[in-house]
Amino acid sequence: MLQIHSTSSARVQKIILRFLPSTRPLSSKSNSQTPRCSGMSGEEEENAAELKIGEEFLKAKCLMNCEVALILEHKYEQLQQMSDDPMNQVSQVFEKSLQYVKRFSRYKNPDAVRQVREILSRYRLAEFELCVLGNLCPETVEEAIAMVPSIKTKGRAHDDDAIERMLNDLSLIKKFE
Amino acid sequence: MFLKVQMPWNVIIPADSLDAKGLMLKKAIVIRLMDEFACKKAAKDLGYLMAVTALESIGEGRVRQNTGDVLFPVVFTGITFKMFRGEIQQGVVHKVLKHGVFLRCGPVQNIYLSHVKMPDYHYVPGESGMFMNDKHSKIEKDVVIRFIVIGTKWMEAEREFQALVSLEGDYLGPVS
Repeated sequence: MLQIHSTSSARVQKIILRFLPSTRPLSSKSNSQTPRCSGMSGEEEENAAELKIGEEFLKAKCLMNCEVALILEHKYEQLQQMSDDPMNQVSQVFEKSLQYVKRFSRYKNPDAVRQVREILSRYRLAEFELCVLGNLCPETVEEAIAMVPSIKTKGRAHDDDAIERMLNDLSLIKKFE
Repeated sequence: MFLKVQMPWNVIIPADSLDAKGLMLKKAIVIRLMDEFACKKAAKDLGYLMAVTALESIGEGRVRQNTGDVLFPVVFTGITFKMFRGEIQQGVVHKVLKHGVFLRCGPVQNIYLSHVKMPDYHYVPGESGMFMNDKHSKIEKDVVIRFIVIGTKWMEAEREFQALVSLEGDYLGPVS
């Protein structure tokens, strides 16, 4: 737990710098100690904005908040059928996550959720990029590029028109949900 | 980001739960797996462990010498939550201090946004305190904030992640 005791901002800076060593980010430091996480080499800095998130995560299937909401709600219903007091059975992690995804799902209807994934899949996006877009639902091309800078890089040259078409398709689903 | 990953796991079934009818085995394994999942909370490389979605395969059980339990190596698919450096996420403010605010995002409860990383916002003391900028945009308790993750840390003792985030970037800040 971070504890801030003094009032000077220089002290706050020091605390932040201690938390984040200047050489490399903590998450890649912890990765180098686990033999399983072969994706991130010690030299490469993790940076989701450039899609540098480790090979195994690039290949993993990412889920949008709305998809997770459907899955967790279904699990919760299953628990309700099996016991009288489902809240006792679920872990804090499950409970907090269910609350979060329900609140931050842009699309509630299962058909709409399926459509969102289908539409975004038509554009050559990495799973990670697809989900960030599906979660944050940027309204303009500029916002989309700010949220997922890697769509303009990585040699796929998504031009602004393609991005605009994608955003329009997404907003149509919202309208007719 | 929520991820669906396939993971190997070793499920230990105590001898007294083993049913003579093999059909109950799968159910016993799923239940044990979910219990262990819930207890473990999070893993350093996978993130927070949320739910088991499918049991892909169950290997051959090995009887453990001293206890008589059976160990089954299984492969299952589960949902995890992990925050990546450089990722843009949304969270809710739950605590306001003079030098920054604490946010929650998904299962992560300790996300710190320092005032140093809130360009143009200054602290306004009051009953609960808040940060405000010249355009009267407020950062206070229960406000939704869009941020960028600048670092994550795994706390072994508490089995949880902490994160450091920033508002430096376009389209970041309070979201109405």
